[in-house]
Amino acid sequence: MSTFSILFAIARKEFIDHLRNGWIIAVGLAFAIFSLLITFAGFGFTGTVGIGQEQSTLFSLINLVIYLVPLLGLLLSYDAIAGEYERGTLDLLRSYPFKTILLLYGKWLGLFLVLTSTLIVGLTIPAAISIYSGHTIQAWTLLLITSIWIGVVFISIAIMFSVLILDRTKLIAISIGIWLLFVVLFDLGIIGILVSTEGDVPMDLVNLLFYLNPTALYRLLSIDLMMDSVMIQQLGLTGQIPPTVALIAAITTWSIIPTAIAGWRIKALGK
Amino acid sequence: MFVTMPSTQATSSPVENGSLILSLSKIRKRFPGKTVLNSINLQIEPGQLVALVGNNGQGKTTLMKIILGLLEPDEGEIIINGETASSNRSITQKASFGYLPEVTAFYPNLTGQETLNYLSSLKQRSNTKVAEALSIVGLEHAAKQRVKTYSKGMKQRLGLAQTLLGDPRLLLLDEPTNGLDPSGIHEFYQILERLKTEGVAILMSSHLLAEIEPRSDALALLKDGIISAHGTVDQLITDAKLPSIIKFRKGPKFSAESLEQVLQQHISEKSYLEQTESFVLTCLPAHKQALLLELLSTDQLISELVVNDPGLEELFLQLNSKLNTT
Repeated sequence: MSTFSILFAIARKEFIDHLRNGWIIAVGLAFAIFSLLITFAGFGFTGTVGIGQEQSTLFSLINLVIYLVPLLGLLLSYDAIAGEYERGTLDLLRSYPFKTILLLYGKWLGLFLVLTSTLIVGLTIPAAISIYSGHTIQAWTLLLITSIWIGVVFISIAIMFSVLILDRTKLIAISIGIWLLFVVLFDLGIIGILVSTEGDVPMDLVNLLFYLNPTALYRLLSIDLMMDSVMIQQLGLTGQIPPTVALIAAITTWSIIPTAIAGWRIKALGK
Repeated sequence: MFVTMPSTQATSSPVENGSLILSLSKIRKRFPGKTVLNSINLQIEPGQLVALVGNNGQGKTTLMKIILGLLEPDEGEIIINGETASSNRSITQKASFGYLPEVTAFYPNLTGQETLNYLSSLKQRSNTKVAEALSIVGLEHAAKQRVKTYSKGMKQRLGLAQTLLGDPRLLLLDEPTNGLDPSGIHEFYQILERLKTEGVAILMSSHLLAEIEPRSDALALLKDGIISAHGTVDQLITDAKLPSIIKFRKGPKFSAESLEQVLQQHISEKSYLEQTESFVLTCLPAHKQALLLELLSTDQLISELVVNDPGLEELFLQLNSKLNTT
């Protein structure tokens, strides 16, 4: 019982902290503005400004999530443990009568709640307008859940580095590096491989490479869950998407492994 | 080298007499390229305030972290409340600690009260002690302000308040009076006095010697990885045979001959400094009383006598220089 009360206390404190410093509202609203722009004007080039077709809108939103949500997860969590270390509270809390690993899990839970709240703030208005205009609630719910999930992967990665490095300045640089790697460079790298080999690479190998990038997995999973066969065909992905179970398993692994490494490391502090 | 001093409070303490709260033996800690602690022995009884003094970088903080289990020693044994500590402190052992790190910034967006409520729940206590802790450290008026508005001294008080939240048996305070103003320091020691009467043992590091001197039951000087002196302040000063400084003005019937006569009887070598109207001389403790009596009883030889007895600072300097030359 006490384990849960400690977890809850840490998560609650983390949430209050981000509510007070304006994070949830500010970032949530910024996200809302971007999603509204996409929902409304994203298809302005087709000649009509207004609510686009559900599939096209969702596809654009998935891309927005790929750019923004990993960044949110990283910015939210990069100093989760390093911040406590620099404030002097990490040593203090390590001397307290509870297992230090609970600090990590409590932070994780708190940051998960912050991210969820931010995305709810960000998606509620565009979703309401879009659903009112005839889009399905199911699509938006799936978008919210998968967005939270990809955010969680990056919270997990950021927490891992936060325990390993314990230096906020370096962690900012590392976070930007991770974002660039997974969101921008990885795809460029794969295109580079395909172009330089003139496509003479086994597709199985390319598919395997996608498992190394959680944002690529997220893209595939979202397309798999939310796009219809026509859209998938338009994207040229018919028959190319790995089984849903494999994607879910891979993203789950990406959410768990970094946290597990962080847990192993935080237990070994001072040893 | 080390002596366990009987606590002044031990007889009135509710804790069983003679039981040790903390016992360290042969603690050794090496960091890459430097042995910080070589062989540390230290014992603390309930109700005892032991001051850990030493220059910066001598390992005071390291020693505290080792006691808390935040760092693992390379060698040595730690016994907390009669129980040998393994590499991880048990929850019970941790619950007996109250720790104040040297610098703690806390959480800027929480109020003082919320901070203590949070920390109290992490100590698995109800929030009933929070109000009491806030009032003990004199922060009740600022309880609802966010910590980012606190001064350095207020943060230090908040840090002290959190040590009082559980029912600590051993307080480990790392430079606790840093940033406190004189009245704050006075109140701080009053709190410690009260805790001592309840049998709480306190290990406190500081380099503010004048402040620690009258308040600690025992002193442990950390230097070059060992505790190079341990005992009550009075005893250490007596053992060190530090000279007192005697200053006086010439009296109406002053003459150099009569002074010389008095000094000859008590001071082997001429160790005084003559100024126009006054004299300054140094004298070992063994001779002090007789010399003063003689000076005062010689008819109008002197006026306005001032005696400066050696304090912790002189002791500290002497011990430091002694160790440096050996």
